[in-house]
Amino acid sequence: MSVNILAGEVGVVAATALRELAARAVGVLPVAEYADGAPLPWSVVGDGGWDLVGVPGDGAASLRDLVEIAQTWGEFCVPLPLLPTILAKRWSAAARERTGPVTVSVAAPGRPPGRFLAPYLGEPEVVLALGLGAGEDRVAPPAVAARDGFAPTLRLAETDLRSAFSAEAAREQAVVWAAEAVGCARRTLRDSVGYARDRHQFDRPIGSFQAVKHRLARAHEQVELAESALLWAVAAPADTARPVRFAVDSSIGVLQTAIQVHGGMGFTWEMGIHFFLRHVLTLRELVRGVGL
Amino acid sequence: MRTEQGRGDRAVTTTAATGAADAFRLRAEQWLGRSVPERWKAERGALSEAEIDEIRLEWDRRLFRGGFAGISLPAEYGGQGLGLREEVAFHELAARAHAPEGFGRIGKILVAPALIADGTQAQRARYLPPILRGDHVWCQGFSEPGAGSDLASVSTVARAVPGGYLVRGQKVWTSFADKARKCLLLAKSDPEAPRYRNLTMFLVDMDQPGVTASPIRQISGASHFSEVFFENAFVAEEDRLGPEGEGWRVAMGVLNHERGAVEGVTRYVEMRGDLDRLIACCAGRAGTCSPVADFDTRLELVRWQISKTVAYQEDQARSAAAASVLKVTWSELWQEIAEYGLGAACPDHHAHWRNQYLETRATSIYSGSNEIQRNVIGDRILGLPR
Repeated sequence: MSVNILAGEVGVVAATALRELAARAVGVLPVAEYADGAPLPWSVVGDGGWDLVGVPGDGAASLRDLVEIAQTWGEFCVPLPLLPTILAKRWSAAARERTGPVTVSVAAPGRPPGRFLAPYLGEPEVVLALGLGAGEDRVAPPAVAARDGFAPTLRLAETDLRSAFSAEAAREQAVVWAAEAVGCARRTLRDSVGYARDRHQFDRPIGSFQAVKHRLARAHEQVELAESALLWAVAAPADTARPVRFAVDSSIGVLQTAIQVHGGMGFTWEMGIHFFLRHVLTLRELVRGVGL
Repeated sequence: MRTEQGRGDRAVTTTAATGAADAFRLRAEQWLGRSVPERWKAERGALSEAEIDEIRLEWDRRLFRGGFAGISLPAEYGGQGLGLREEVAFHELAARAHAPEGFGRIGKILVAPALIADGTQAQRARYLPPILRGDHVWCQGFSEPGAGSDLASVSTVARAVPGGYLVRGQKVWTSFADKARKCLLLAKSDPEAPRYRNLTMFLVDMDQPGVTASPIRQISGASHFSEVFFENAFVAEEDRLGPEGEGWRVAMGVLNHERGAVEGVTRYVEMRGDLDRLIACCAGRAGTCSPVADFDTRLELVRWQISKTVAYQEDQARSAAAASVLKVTWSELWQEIAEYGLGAACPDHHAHWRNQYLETRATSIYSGSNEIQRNVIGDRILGLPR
């Protein structure tokens, strides 16, 4: 059994269950139909206790397990603060006392001074964890200074409150966000392959043309290497930033390819690839904000 | 950029190691430490071609005596009965220890698995022991002047005659052909049958009249390949590997081994050596060498990709998806490293980079061009239409 490469039982079980929940809620829907809505109520994941999967103790998920969960979750781009809640409840006792969702805020390079970024802040029931292994361990009610509507599936808000992270909590948060990005990339690659199989031009599926096929092959290479970068990030506490950045940047590359492969549909709002792209571009901001 | 990092923490398989795997690594490391010939380590550049050949031939025999031949082959066939993890670990350690490369690579990595998958008991009994002992060097007769990327269009013909076949045709880009006793040969056996069903795989004796091999000089000036001519060379019925008409299927199995983790890890270690050389050259020249940090990240990812391929070996689809990107990834990265190395003009290593630059032009072509490998990824991994 290879400890650092294969996910443990907790990770596999949780990822499988969450895949089923998300697939039941949004499986056949185009992302454009649910990006602005609430396709999955919090109670569905909360009642199952999936937000507590990382809480320290016997049978807690390892970081590798969280990567498995985040990659799976990322494939659906569901607007629900599951991943920040898992991290907050892993690192904060005050967050664990809440039954509902909890988010975190990180630095916001390039924004007004004193402003911090928090995904899903201002969404129903969401509170902000202020101490993740560092600082004062308490939660704060949502204090939204401004909304950032760029990524509808991440519901980003600016706030004046900053979550304090221990070095390890920050590292884990960055790895989990990177894993979510890789999940987005894997999903859009799969959609792009499906589109290239169905879409015909010159009486042939466009995926049979090498110009298109090789682009998708390169996207597959990027997804594979991005996933390997996550394994590296998990295993190398002193060297996490490089693989995390690689994973996120590669995922953005895959999203760009997906738009190109979808041709004239690729840059339409309704096709919806842009929701994944906006999601991953925003994850990159969050990863930078948490210090990696 | 990190220049201080030693090589000791970069083992491909240590992160995934169990106690047994650790014990294997330790045994291999100790054995390599005392078995790699001093002359090879110290004065390789000064050895004559005959001396080099002698050391490489002897190395295969030493591997056998040391219990490191056929590491991942089943024990019932004379292998060590271990897994891909140990095979990869050994190749990595051997490359790090600057061990010679024997002449047995084609036999052990490509022919032996094919014999186990498709050979008869008699063929295995006859050919596996000399491969493992290092007595038989094999070559791989696949590519032809008219059948490179389009391998299925080979025109070398095997015509049935009483007791066997007569082979006529020309092979090219054949490694080890000038040293080989045997050739794993893909030939057209049925001119009437449709494409992909007209081919058969053979185990051909190279020591016979009608077989001639002559080396090809490459752009670097070195000769790593030969062209081979078959003029009515005879191959016995019992030296047909698999049924008639199934040569394409057998060949695809062989090619997967050729582009996999074992090959990848050997390249990783060679590339690591090149990149460390470049990092040393760039130290203290801040600002001029920004791509080097990116090379370093991508090279370490080759290592992680290999580890992942090995770790997921029970899950065939996931392992195949992981392995499929290895060859295109390392080959193109190595080219970039060599291009940059030559351009960076490190005075100490100028001759090295000139040679590596020319040598690495071939990496994206051999073992199946990267264009073909990307077709394979598109068709077989992603399921795109042909």
